[in-house]
Amino acid sequence: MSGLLKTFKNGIFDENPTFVQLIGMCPTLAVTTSLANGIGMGLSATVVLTLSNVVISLLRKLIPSKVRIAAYVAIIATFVTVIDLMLQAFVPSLSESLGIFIPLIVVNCIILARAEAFASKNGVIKSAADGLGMGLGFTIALSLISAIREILGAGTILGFSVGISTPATVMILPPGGFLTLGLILGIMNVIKNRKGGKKS
Amino acid sequence: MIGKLLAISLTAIFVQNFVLVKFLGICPFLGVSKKVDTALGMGMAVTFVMTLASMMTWLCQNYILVPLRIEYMQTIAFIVIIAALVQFVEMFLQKYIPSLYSALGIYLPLITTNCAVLGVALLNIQQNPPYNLLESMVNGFASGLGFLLAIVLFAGVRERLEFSDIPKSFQGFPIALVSASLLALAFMGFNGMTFNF
Amino acid sequence: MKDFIRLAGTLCAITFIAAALLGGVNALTEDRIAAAKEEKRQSAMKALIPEAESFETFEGHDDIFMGLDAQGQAVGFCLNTASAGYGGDIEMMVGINDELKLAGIEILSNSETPGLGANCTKPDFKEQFAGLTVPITVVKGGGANGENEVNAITGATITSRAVVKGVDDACEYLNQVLTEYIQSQGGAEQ
Repeated sequence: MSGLLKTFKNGIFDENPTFVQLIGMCPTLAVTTSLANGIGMGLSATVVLTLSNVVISLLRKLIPSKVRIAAYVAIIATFVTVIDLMLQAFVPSLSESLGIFIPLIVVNCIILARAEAFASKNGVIKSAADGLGMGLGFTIALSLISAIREILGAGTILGFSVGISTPATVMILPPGGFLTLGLILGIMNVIKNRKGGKKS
Repeated sequence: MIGKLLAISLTAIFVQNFVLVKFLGICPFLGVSKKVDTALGMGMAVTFVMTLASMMTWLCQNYILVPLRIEYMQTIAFIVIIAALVQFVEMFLQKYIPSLYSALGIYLPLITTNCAVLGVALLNIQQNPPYNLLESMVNGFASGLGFLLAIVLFAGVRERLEFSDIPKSFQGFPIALVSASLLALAFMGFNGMTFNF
Repeated sequence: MKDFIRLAGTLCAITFIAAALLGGVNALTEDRIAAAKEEKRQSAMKALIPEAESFETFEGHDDIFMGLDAQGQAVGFCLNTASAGYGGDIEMMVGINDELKLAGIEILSNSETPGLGANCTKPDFKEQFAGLTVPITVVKGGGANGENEVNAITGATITSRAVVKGVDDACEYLNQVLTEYIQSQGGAEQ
């Protein structure tokens, strides 16, 4: 049980896909213009990641290794389409604002990377824990970035005003995306270096 | 006709730059941009695959998916086409143009998961009024050139960053992202331009 | 050869199952997606022309809807149109009242930047269109008070221009269709 918890926490902290592994960058930067979008994308990717990890883990002994990447991509694309149709049917507004980044979850490197590095080598339950952990790590990272960008760039949080009268619009435009992620990574390094310094 | 194609190209390269404005293809943009040479190789490989992928996916959409009314299979069909295409290009180059293969070969497998390729395929068929085959291919080619331009410029910046005195915490990725932000700011100068020839 | 069959067979099996699954999900969600779109369209039309009891497509043009009151009299038109904005197409419903002036607009879908262009769905912007006639001019920086002028959304001139272009084009199109209709009716119905 503790092993499962460790796998789960691993994705959120030690190997956070966004802040530590630096993968899955396209949605990280593109959809984080508002917190609602960030959370929506994070959760959609989490569902796809968990489901594809489970199925790939189940089929890991049946899929010949020569065609495994093609097989993984087909499985992932299936789940992405399912999520895409579900969002269109039940949350059309979210589906609109995430636009082509929903189908692009297929090529989100996090999902293929977890399939290849984890699900193809581990049991079903462990793979599910890994997918859930990595997905939540991704969601948390996206939420943080999008909250900062929405507050500074639009002066709102989840659409409610936070009382900034002239927000810095550039923060929700492309340059603000790169800048926010760059500064977050830099600040995390500062904190890490301080901690390391104290220990030694 | 030529005018429209030129307008599509200029828009795709500058105004709607795939990397710096649309945020597509960020992974290779950050991952393979440490040196100008490799960035150039990656950019050319991506341009090549994007042009071919635009053609194949357009044909698939208009002659298979739409007539059969299975548009919902789009994502899976496109990604399979792109994966197969990349594989085929790799084998073809290896056999017939080994010099090009040795230059681009190592980047090819990475391109399957480059979202710029799937992105251009999906955007091509969402245009209003719809693109025809030639326009899709031109858009694919020009979007690839936009990627090439962005990644080569960025690699040039990063080569110089190597020799700069940067605070320890910001070395590597953080400063690269801040530089990318400035590059994106520069491209905002093209914001809103429209072309009529 | 045996190996090849095994490889191809596995891939085929996977894609076959995937296709079957997607077909099923599509069958389940198809009606729901269409219903959600239709519902959105109906409520937009109702908001634009509140006098209308029902809407029906006009003379076989499936993007023009004629609003009918309880007596079956035409009280206005709604046009479903799209225009290229900053982040993609902006789909909108343009309402025209019985005096052939703009009754207003409703944005059905857009992929504009949140906090900027996406503010085209806010009442501040939309309500400016009521009572205008085309062509409409976009004024930057506020202070639109001349005839047929609207204030641009702050920081989103491209989106504002796109919406205005959509409205202009829609009105022109309706004008053309109505002129043809009146001619075909021998000018009997003016």
